[in-house]
Amino acid sequence: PNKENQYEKMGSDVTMLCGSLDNSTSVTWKVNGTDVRAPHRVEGPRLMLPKVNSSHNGLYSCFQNPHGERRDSINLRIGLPPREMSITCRSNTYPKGFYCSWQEHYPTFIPTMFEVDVQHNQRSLDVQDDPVHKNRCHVRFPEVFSSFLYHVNVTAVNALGKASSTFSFEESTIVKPDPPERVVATPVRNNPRRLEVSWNSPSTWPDINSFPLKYFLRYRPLIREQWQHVELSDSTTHTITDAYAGKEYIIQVAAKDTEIGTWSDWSVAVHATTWISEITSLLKDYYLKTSPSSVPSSKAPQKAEPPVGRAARVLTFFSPLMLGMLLLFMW
Amino acid sequence: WEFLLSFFYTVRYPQLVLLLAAAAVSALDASERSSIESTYELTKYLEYQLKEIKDVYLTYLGPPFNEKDFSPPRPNSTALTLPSAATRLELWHGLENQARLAQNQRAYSILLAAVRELARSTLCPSLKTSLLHFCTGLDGLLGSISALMTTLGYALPASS
Repeated sequence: PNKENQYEKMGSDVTMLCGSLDNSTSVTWKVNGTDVRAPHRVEGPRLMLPKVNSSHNGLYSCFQNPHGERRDSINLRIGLPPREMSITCRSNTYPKGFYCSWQEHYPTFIPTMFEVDVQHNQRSLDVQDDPVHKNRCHVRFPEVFSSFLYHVNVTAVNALGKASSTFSFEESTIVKPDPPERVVATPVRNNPRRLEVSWNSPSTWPDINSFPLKYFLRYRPLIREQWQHVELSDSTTHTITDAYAGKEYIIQVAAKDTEIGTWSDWSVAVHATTWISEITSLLKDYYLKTSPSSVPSSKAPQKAEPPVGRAARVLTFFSPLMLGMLLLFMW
Repeated sequence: WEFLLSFFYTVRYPQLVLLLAAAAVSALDASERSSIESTYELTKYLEYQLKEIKDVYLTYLGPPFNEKDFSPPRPNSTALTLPSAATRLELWHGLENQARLAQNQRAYSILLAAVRELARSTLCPSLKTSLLHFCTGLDGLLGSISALMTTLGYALPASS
């Protein structure tokens, strides 16, 4: 006797039939090798389970009395028919193609398949399943700058029923690039108010020459909540000129097609600290220390090597009083 | 007016010229290159102008056009004879510069005729002036494209 799946709706009354035995046959039922504990009724070859829920899931076997030959094995799976879904579509590879994702609002608990149909200008487009994401599919744009809407229909199907949802959109509204990549921020030597930022356009954007992107940069010192914003066209570099000296900054960049669609998510945040002179660094470290004879910390704000050796020597030359006078002159 | 409104939404002419610029720039000398680049800059400026005029025009028309989410009805069949900006990119990339320039010329001529008609039938004087000013810019663009085609030795398309 082969094992088959029996799918039943949650809350319903379920009947399981042992093979094709006639009504006078007497059988014993077991679930997962043990006795059936849930409330149930046995009538001849039938097992009745009222108002089932997921605790009834299991492998049910029936054995013919009195010798106990196994006649059938049924894998009972309790679930729900599909219901409406939300569909979203996005093009991060404009003008090549787009992908649509859907999300079920209610779980079905049993295997559910999805059929996707995309219509454009009264023609059905070819749809490819995503190899990784179960609820996603990919479509190539048949043409660009089209005024015809795209109509996406997703039908969810399982053993207990089916449900369809639709989503329509215009080409330009779904364009959203991936965030810029490889964002790098470096301090500028001898220029404590500057940070040089550079980045690359997202690698998924197929034709940066014909479809250029514009960028949005935001930055703030780590200790502040408020961002400063700069909108840039085309260029993939920018120099911040109003940073605070010796402060650590967070910087992020976003991208958008120059004409259509929406801004990408923010790129990964990069941290950079503005350059400050060695003297300033030493004085800062000195005044942070409780004991003047201790060696200053090797924490260096810039990429240049921490001047630990030189710092120790400088401190042995200057007494605290002289350093205080130097401080007066520096500020 | 339905045609004209749809046109505002569907014409993406800067992208047409952009495609031209990307392909043509590499093959030409410095003055031709600079000529194409300034023509391209002009289309960017005109697109900016058109966006502004569109907003003013929709406000002028009143409801439902002046509503935030207004979107004109889309044609749902190819039976309509609206000129379309829809492009098969692989075909576009395969075209010679002459064909691309000629298509740009045609697209902007259609737009110019449409906006002129719009200006003619607009009663609001300031809007009429803005539209006519835009037409002047478009006319200049057509002149630039014609000059470029002549420099490159291409025959100009017959005016319709």
